[in-house]
Amino acid sequence: MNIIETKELSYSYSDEKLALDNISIAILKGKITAVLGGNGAGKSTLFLNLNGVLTPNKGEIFFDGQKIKYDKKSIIEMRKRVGIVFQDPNDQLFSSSVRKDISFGALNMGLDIEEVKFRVEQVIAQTGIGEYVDKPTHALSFGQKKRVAIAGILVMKPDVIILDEPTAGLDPAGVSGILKLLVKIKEDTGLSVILATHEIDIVPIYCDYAYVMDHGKIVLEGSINDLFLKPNELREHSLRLPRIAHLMEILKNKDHLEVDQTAATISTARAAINKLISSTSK
Amino acid sequence: MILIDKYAYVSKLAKVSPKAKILFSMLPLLICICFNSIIVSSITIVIMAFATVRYGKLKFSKYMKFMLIPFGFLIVGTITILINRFTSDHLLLIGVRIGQYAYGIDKESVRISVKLVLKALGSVSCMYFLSLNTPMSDLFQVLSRTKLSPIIVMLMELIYRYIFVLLDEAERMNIAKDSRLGNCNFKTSLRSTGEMISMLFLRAYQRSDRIYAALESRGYNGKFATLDEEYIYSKKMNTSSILICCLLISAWGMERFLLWRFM
Repeated sequence: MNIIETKELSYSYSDEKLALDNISIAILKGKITAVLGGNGAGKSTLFLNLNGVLTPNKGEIFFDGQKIKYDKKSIIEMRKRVGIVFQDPNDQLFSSSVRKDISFGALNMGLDIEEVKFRVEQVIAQTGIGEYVDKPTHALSFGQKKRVAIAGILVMKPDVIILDEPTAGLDPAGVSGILKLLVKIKEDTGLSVILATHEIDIVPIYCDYAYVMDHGKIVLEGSINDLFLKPNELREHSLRLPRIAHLMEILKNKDHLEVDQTAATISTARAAINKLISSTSK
Repeated sequence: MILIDKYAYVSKLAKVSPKAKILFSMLPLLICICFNSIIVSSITIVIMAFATVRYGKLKFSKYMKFMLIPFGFLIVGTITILINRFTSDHLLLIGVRIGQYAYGIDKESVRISVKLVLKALGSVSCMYFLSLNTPMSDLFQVLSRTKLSPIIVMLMELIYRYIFVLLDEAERMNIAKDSRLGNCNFKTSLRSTGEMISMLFLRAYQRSDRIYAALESRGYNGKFATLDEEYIYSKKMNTSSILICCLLISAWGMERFLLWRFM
């Protein structure tokens, strides 16, 4: 079941070059979809179109099977249901108080104060930011700001959350913290997640499906296992295999070992290597 | 975090209603300025210092350091009032006679200077009480409830929020230019600083675009609607404000009476 579908979506900024060129994608409900691509591939433009901040020049967007009309009411509805967490949390957190910033989206939805207060406290607990909720926004670390920015979107209870480079600028602990939080929220609420990332190693661990963009076009798509069976195509589009999948590729192609090339995580690679060892020892 | 901001957020009075704190500091400030009395100013200094140190839990040594900040300005400002030109037969406490004039300090100029210094310190101590115990976001909340245009209050809040982002960016750029010998001599430093400022302006402009997109994505409709912070309603502080005002007015009355009776 698809929560969002786009059909031949095109968008250009004031210059003539298309930032999005006939994009047709389908985002699966309750799954994590990765959008991969180098800098300037069009990922952020696609996300702004999916949230209604930008209006496509051509093509259509369907939300839960319903075609999006670009009248004021539909756009407001779209923004309620699709939330974006921006790459730099400083772009998103405009208030000097954490609680006030989190409440912004929920109040714009026209909810009553008591409901907003309840939701704010709920997402503070959910995202684990209680410890620093009383600090001013500018005193938070980058990772803490990211969590507050996510809370500011979750408070709107969207059906889809879009994260533009959620791991950029974070240390390894921060990266896994943010991603584990997302997986937990997805499991608790059935939220659909779309994330853009350069961090290809996290894709096989956390994502279910992926699209690869280059020069405003979708150039590859597939389930994670399928995608990593096309290493050369990935390289053509400024991407690479995850480190573990790369190792498996070398073991298979250069050392001619019979390993599963789709193994891209530590656990699958470990299973594949153990299988190989036990088959050779026999 | 800039220093004074940090103290406001960690103050034990940070969660107390900002209205009560404004009342507590602004009424004595007004009395201190209007009454222009040594006793009133002295009492104000003591009360505000006591409240900030005892209830805001700021270290006394830190508070004294803050109080020393305006001293430099006060000394310079007061010297011009303290030292005057008089006729040569004028009774001076200290001074020199040059020609038909005497230059120095007399009783009256000392009295005026002490009054001025104490009034200034009294006012500063009131302002310190407010700024060392009240986070800026709380002040914006109070301002938004006044008749001030909401857009002005919001602009103030946005400027306050993004000044730190801009400072961070400027600091990073300065380190980068320093690492490439951008400050090796005065001429280079001037040129690279000029370029840095223009780049900073461009980046701020680009960021404003991104901020607007982020606001729109969260349903921005021209109003910055946010939840109000919840504060501890302090009946004690409100009562104290009234009592302090009464004390200051009585002290002034007493001073007037004594002056009238014995002078």
